[in-house]
Amino acid sequence: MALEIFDERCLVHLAAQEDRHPSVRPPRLSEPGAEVASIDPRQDDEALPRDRRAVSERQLLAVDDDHDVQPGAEQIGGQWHAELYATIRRMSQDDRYRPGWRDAFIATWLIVQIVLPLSYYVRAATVPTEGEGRADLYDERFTWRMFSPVRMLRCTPEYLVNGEGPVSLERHVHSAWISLLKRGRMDVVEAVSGYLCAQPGTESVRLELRCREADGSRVTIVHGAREWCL
Amino acid sequence: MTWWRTFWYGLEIEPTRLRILRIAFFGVLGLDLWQQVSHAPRYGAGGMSVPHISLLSALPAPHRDWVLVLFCLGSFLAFRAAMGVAARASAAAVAALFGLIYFWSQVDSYQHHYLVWMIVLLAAFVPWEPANGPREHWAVRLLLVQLSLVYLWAAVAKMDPHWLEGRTLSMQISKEWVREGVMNTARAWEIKPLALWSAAAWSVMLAELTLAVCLQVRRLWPAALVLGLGFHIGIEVLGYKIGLFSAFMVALYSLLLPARVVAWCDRIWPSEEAERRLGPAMALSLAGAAATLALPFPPVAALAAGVALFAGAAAWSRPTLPTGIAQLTAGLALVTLAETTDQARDYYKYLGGDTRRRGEVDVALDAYENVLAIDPEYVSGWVRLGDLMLRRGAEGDDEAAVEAFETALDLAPRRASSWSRLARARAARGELEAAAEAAERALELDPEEPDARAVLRRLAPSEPNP
Repeated sequence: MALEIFDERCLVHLAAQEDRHPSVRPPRLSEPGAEVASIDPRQDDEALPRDRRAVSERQLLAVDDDHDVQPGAEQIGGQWHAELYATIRRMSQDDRYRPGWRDAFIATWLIVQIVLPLSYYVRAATVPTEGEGRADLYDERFTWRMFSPVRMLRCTPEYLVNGEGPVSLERHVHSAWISLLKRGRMDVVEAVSGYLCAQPGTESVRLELRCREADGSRVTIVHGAREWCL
Repeated sequence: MTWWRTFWYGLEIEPTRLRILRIAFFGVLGLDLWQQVSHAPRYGAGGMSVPHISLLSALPAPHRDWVLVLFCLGSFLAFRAAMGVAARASAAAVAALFGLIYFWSQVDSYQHHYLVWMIVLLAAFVPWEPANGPREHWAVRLLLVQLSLVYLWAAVAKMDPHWLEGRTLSMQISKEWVREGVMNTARAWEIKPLALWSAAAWSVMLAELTLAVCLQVRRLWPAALVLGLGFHIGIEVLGYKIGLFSAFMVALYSLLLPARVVAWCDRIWPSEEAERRLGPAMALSLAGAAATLALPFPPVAALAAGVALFAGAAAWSRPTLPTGIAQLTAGLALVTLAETTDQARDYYKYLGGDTRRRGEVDVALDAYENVLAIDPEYVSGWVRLGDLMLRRGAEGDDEAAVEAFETALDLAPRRASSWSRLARARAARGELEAAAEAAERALELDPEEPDARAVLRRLAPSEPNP
């Protein structure tokens, strides 16, 4: 099906519409006597003169931003016309395409979804074999590393409060936090340690966090020498 | 920029395909949010919280009541969207409140909830409204791209020698029939079981890579549908504890259904033109709201659910029979879930367990009283209630503790620990003879029961000093 020009103001790509409504002839949108021309669909739209690619805004009033047909469209020329206007609008938008907020949203989304997981691998490449810095390896949030070998990590937190312990953590914090301590989550280590320090009568909190990684190797993430109540 | 425009804005999706996705995805989301209700007590327990985003540290720690309200509200909105009422607005609202709950606290660190939040956020941009023909929209394309990225990164994570050698996978699979099957096959083929685990690990990684590609090429959707459904149903069958993640993925794969199936669904779908204006539907929605007051939850949650239903009905600009029925059905779905699932019971059970351990005796007592009102045959609940009564030691508590232990023993008379607790409670009331009888009964059932021995030692007349 060819591209058809009904008049100098309007360029319409009718192929989709005629496929859907083969029994209906294209309506004549132009003024009586206006030029009607057919061109080869293989011809690049860009080759057409600019004035022939412009679309009459009057004919687009019946179509909203999402190409939805508005009530007025029915009065202009029935459902066929309404769909035609939607196509005109789409063609017009294609011709006048300029990146908008949607494109910015898509680009931002993609950047976040590439950079966040990638940053994990950058961090993981430089983590030390021991100590608190190692915990960066265990924080797989936002990286889409489901069921990874790192997830098999098992840590044992042992808290000493005022030199006595190990403390029964369940008496202090919800078991969900204990599960995260056992996964070597440093944010949680700091929060739980701070929470214990804030309890009345607490002067000293020390933690020994030993972990066993998926390959069986043992590492100490937090050494008991560190005082968390300073 | 033509390729960019074609890729993001050139994907046409039939309205019926979107309807199927809407019902499947938001239906599962409503169930998932409801399931999370029982986990509300962990939010802000003891005033402690660690947000996912440090920016949210400025907020106060979340409180279980508010999280409960947000989960109930989210569940209702999701069901409403599934029913087709203001789907975009409902998705936006669910994205906002789900995002708030998720990022507010690391107690929910499930990556699949992070993914679900992203999908819901994108759903707020999808044209769910009825349309006359195929719609092309960037949000649906971005949804597919997000799924591809997830599969891609998941595959990258598995390009790790520890994964590919199969040991990690073998450690993750706990189903005995699977492990036995691997052992038997390895024996029959005269190879090491680890070789089979390794082959499976490679297959998983390659399947994820394949899915990442197939989702972006429409001609490959049939292959993606078969592979993806098999993959996620397989994960479920293998017993991974990942909540409703498999159900979410199956729902999302409805987007890839063959055109013939979509066309068939289109033929049987009720016509939009059948809608008629009906004011009383509003009243029916409010009746649904009133029904939520019967929810076995704190009044604040019931009130919030009622307000949500009211707001949903009030915001409804074109009242029609189908939308009225949809609103009502969404509300009734929530009420039905409240009445037929264990979430309310588990909410109080988990709340009672945590606060009991952390010494918040009054909150724990209240929680156990609520759980026992829902499930009077919960033996451990009666035992915990009795323990807490003794621990609080207010006037009349020892008598209430005796009653609680006796109820537990009516339900499970051969539980030695309950007899020894009864002995302790009776001793506290000065009923020494009855206490000794209960302690002896405990020792009959379990000669090692330490509490019963302690009670008997305390009741025994003290030896005169020489």
